[in-house]
Amino acid sequence: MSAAGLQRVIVRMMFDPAFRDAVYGAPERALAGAEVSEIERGWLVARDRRAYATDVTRQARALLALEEELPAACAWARAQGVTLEAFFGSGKFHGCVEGRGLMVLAFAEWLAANAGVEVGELARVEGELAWLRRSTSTSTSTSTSTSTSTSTSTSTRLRVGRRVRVVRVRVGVLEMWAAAREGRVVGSVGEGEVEVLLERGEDGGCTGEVLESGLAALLRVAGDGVERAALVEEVVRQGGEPAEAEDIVGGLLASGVLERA
Amino acid sequence: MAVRRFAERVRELPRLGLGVSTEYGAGAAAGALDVAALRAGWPQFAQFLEVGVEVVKGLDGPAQAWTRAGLPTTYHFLDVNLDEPVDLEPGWLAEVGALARGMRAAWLCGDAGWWHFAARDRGHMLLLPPVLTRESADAMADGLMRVRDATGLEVLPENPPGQVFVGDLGLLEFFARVCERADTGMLLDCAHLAIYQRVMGRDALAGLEGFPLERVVELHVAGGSLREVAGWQFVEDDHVPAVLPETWRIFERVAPRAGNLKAVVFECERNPVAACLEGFERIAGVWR
Repeated sequence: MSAAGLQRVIVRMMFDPAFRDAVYGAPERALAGAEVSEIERGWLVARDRRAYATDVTRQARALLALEEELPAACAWARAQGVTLEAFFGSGKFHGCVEGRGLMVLAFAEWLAANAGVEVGELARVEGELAWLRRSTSTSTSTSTSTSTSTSTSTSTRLRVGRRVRVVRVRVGVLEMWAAAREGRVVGSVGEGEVEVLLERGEDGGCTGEVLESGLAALLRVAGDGVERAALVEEVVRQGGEPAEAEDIVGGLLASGVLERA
Repeated sequence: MAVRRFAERVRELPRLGLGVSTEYGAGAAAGALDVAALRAGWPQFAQFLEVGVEVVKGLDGPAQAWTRAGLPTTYHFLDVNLDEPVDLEPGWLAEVGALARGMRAAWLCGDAGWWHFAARDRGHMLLLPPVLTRESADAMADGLMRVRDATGLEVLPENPPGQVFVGDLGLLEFFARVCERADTGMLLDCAHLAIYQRVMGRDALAGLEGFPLERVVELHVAGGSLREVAGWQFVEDDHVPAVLPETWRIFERVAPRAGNLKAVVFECERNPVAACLEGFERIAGVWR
């Protein structure tokens, strides 16, 4: 096994006492599929197993960082009796370490799979926001050719901005999210779904709003990149005037909801 | 252009003397070391500031004030796994270079282990020692050279603390190999080495007789505390002012014999000045 691979096993043993005990109890079985040689297995269990547990706040520190990003989902999960520390014994956590993923996204997925529908929906929203915080920040000030319809601007390919995400969620989730941010675990999700626009502001703060159906359709067309003219055509197809359509697309570009592809 | 050897490059590094370390927010805690007050009252103990940096956080107020005053610094990274090539992202390298140049750091240094698992992200602060194998040492040396090339600054790997060490090399053997392959100097943390020697059941000075001490450019001295988990005793590297006897033994053996030693840090950033003076004075008495 590579040194990095061995290091990942050590990380898992430090965070997950059950996994650590399994490695000590039956190393070959616990590490099956991990391509750890017999010599390396010997290294892993050579020390007293308590040596892996000297940092008694390791899980708590990691959870603190996770809860900062998923406060509403965590509050709801606790209210539903979910033990958040169980994440570190989950396949999602172990897979994240082995796959060099983002822990906050793995945690959001774990919450969604291990709690009620409300937690799942909130975890999806806050997981998307966590992703947004890490996405590349792009300046909108350099892409503000708004209402002009020059040949240059109309031939530009545009895409959904990296500061925003369009997510389909159950009705009522944004209200639950807003309440939880004020410390209230209240509300419920409805049967229907809506598309919401999640946005990371210049100050790092995040907002969410239900998308009007026309705008949702326009952003679906934009996706990862289309000609600007195609977006203008979509606005016109929805009933807008051509000049007005240019202004709408330009406005979305100026606000960062769209950006140059 | 021919690449200059360490023996030549090290002569151009400044002698920084005895200094202290900090990291983002460390000085804000009640009873923490006030580096400005130390500099004002005991300038011989605060000749430079080693600034622990996570790129995502940058420098806090006291560190910015220190650099604005044009005082000497070193840049101690807290957010890179040197032996993971994928961790050396171009954007991160560019930001490290910009920050280090902004604070006119004499060099980069930092614990050469794992600061995070998975992708670089907030909330990890893992700090694991490296896997002590030849493959891992070579990967670390290669990563170190990439950071050195990208920033134009010397990069001194530091032996990290830990309670679990795996591999078929001794810690000193591992770092001697890293230094040789990367042709670099290193930062020897005496407290971390004392912890390693205790964990392995060795004498504090074991292995130093064969270690290339001319590679040691910087030394760390720090206090530690005896702790217990489920009845198992270990030394925690908690930077209290009380330095363990094994750490002093290592420091007092190495400092006079390290011909290229340029800097010593007494790591006591979370303690009031008065509690640290005895430690500073003992260090100054050994390394003049």
